[in-house]
This record gives sequence, C-alpha cells and structure tokens, in this order.
Amino acid sequence: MTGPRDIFYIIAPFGVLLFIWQATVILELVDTTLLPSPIELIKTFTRLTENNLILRHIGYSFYRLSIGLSLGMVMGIIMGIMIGSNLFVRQLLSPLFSILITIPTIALVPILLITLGIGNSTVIISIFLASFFPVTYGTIAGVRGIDKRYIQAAMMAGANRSKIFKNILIPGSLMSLIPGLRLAIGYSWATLVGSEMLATNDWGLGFMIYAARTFFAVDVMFLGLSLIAILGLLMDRVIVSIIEKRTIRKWGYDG
Amino acid sequence: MMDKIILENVSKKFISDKKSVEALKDIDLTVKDKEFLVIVGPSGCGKSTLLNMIAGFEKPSSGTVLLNGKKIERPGPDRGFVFQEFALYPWRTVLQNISFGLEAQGEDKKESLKKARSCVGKVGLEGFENAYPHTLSGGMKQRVGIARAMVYEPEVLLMDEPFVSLDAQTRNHLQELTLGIWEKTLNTVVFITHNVDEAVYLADRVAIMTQRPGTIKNFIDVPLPRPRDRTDPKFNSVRKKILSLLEY
Repeated sequence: MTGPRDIFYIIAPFGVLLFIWQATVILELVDTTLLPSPIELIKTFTRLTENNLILRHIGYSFYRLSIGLSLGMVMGIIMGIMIGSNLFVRQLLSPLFSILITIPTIALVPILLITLGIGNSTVIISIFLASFFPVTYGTIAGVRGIDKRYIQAAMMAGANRSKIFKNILIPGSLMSLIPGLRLAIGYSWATLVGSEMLATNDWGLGFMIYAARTFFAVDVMFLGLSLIAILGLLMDRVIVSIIEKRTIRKWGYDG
Repeated sequence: MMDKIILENVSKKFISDKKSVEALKDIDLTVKDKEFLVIVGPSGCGKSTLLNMIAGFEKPSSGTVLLNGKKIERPGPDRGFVFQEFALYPWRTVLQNISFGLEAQGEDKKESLKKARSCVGKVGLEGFENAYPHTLSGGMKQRVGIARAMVYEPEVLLMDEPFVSLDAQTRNHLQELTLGIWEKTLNTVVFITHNVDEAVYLADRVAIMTQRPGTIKNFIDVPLPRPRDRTDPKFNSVRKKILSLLEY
C-alpha cells in the first residue's frame, strides 16, 4: 500500500509549500514580523520541547480529544443503529436531528461554560457533540444500506436480536460509518481548538495559540497551527486508515 | 410418505402506491417429506414470494402455510435458505460464514468452527477456509451459500434460483453437488428456477406456475433414475412437456 510512490505523493506537495513559504520570508515579500519561516518554527518547536511545554499542550489536547471522540463514537453508533433499524424511532427523531445538526458546536460552548465552567468537561462535551452527529449519520446510512438478505439469513439460522446487532448491523454499517468517522475527527479538531481558546486557562494547543497573542508570539501561533494540521493528518492517516485496512478493504470494498 | 410442507388456498397481495397487486392466487401445494420439488414459472410470477412465505420472510394475505403441520410464523433453523445472489457476509471468511448458522443458535465458537470445517469439505472448498467472499468466483460463493444453509442440518432446504448467475458448466457442477447433499442428508428441498433443463435434472416433481397472479397449473413427475442423462430422449420428452405448459 505505502510504497515509495505513495510517500512521494504525500511529501511532495508539502515540500513545495514549505519551500515557497521559506522563500517568501527570506525574500521579505511579506511583513516578517507577522510570518515566521518554517525554519524558525522548527527552532521554536525545539525550544518549547526542551522544557516539555509543547508536549504538555499536545498531551492535554489529545486527552480531551480522545475522551470526547470515543464518547461521540460509542453513543453515535448506538443512536445510529437505533434510528437506522427502527422506523418509529427514525420518524420521531429525524426532525429533531435535522435542527440540531445545523447548530455549530462551538456556539454551544458559552452555554457549557455557564453550566460546567472553565476546564476539561466543557471541552470534552463540546468534542463529544461535534463527533456524535457525523457518526450517528454515518451509522444510520450504514444500517439502512445493509442488504436485508443478510438479516434474513441470520434469522433463518435462529439468531436473536443481540446476535444480529453484533454480527450484522455493526460490521454491515462500517462502510458508511468510516467516512462519518473521518468527518467526526475533522469536526473534533476544529471544536477542540475553538473550545480550548474559550474554556481553558492552562493547557492545550488551542489555549497555546490564544495565549501567544498576548505576547505577540507569532511563531508560537504558527507552530500551534502547524501541529494541529500535522496531528490531524496523522490521526486520519494512521488510525482511520488502519481501521479501514483491517475491515472494509479486507472485505473487498474500495472505501 | 409424510407431508412436510402444506400450502392451503394461499394468496398474496402487495400494496404499492395505493394499488393492490395480486402476486399469488389460490395456491395449493403439498411437499412430501424428503421430496425434491422444483417450481418453475415465468419471471415475475411470484415464485420467489412463494418461497419467502415458506421461509417465513413474508406472510400470506390469506390461506395457511404449514410446516410439519404447524403454521409458519417466522424464519427458523428447521429451514435453510440459499439465496440467488449468494448474500454472503463480506466481513466473514468462508469458514466464519458457514459457522455463523451454528453460532447464531448459541453453539460455542470452537465447536461451530469444527463443524463448519467438515462442511467445507462437503462442498469442495478445502484450502479456501480463510478466504473472504469477494475473492471467490460465483460458483465458489454459492458453494459457501449451500454450506452455510446446511451446516445446522435443517429439515427443509429452500433454494431461490441459486445458480441463475453462474455459467453453464459451474451450474452443472453445483446441481451435482446439491443432489449429492440431498441424497446423503435426505432433507426436503424446494428449489426455484426458470430453467427447465435444471428442473428436469434435479426434481422428483416439478410444479409449473402461471403468469401473475401466479398459481400452480400443473405438477409433472420426473420418474427418471439418477444420475440423469441430459441427452436421454426420455429426459427430453419431460422437458418438452414442461415447456409446452409454461407460458412465457
């Protein structure tokens, strides 16, 4: 899968981007106090690693993200299967969901701040909300797309509801659940950064970027942005791709 | 011989867009224990609907469907079903597809896999136990389909145009396989096809359905000894008789 060719296609566009970026700064095509060069960012990164600051920011962000995202996935899959497999529940909840999905999660942070206050729980709940809806939608589509003969064959063999749930509905809905998961990870990052700016006062990449503005530390801000981009990409390429490779690709879907 | 399946005065209507379509009308059918019954009929005559009612996937609009004298309410492991386009679980290997029927009934995983493994041999899939369905040819997929339905030893095997998408040679192989399994286990088979040659090759008795609303017009016994010779004039005369009764 990942031969030298693939690696080239991953690295080449970034290489070109970084080159243009560095050249822009060296040639002073823009105000360099507002745009640090990639090399400066690497220096900032090593400086902040030496006193473990950066790792701590990343660690806090990851901690919040993984809890919120896991909650969103589990609840989203359960909700998606309930809605997808039951017409009554679907008709009951569809209008409600259509309204809720239009509200940007970040707009709920002020309300969460009033009830939960500054800190982890506000960030985690907002990530949960951001990931819950795409996972739910992906699962609904997945369940509804399951070949009904899969269920008929299982019922013929005498499978009960819980066996059908575990052995057919869950694996059968993975095909559209995985794109939902991708979306959920994207939304989660966006929400993480936004809600860390609003709802934390100590650690996290979002907080780091926001706090850097008070010191006019443009390099720290850009470092934060780059790290978010890189970590988000890694999460998609590593975690989701591994799930994909071990499931739907192995089963013959192109994904 | 005992009566295994009885359909009495069965009709089936479907309602779509406020229109009611009569799919089956006044079906009376008795399948004897251990009989190999083949139902032939033009496409759209409702033969799959008939099979779905015996399977318990659908309910008749009127009339009764009985298995061993008891009304069929739902699908259950006293019957096995072989689907037209295989309907294998893409996320399970050959062996896991076969063992699922046993796991579904609460048998433990190890025991299920052991029994499934012996079934793999019976359908000639040795060496493909760990293959995923998408890597198999159509003929091999349907071998899995058959093994999956027979693994829990149902009394009745229901087969819904199982070989329709296969090439002629593979189709012949699988017909042999089906007969072999039927002769060894002697369960009752209800087999649907629109291929008359296939019907004559397999059946003890052939039921011929009319166009919609489908009803059974004639029964033709096939008194030829097995293995049957497709080039035998007697084979051909049965074929001719069925063809003359079929409306296309």
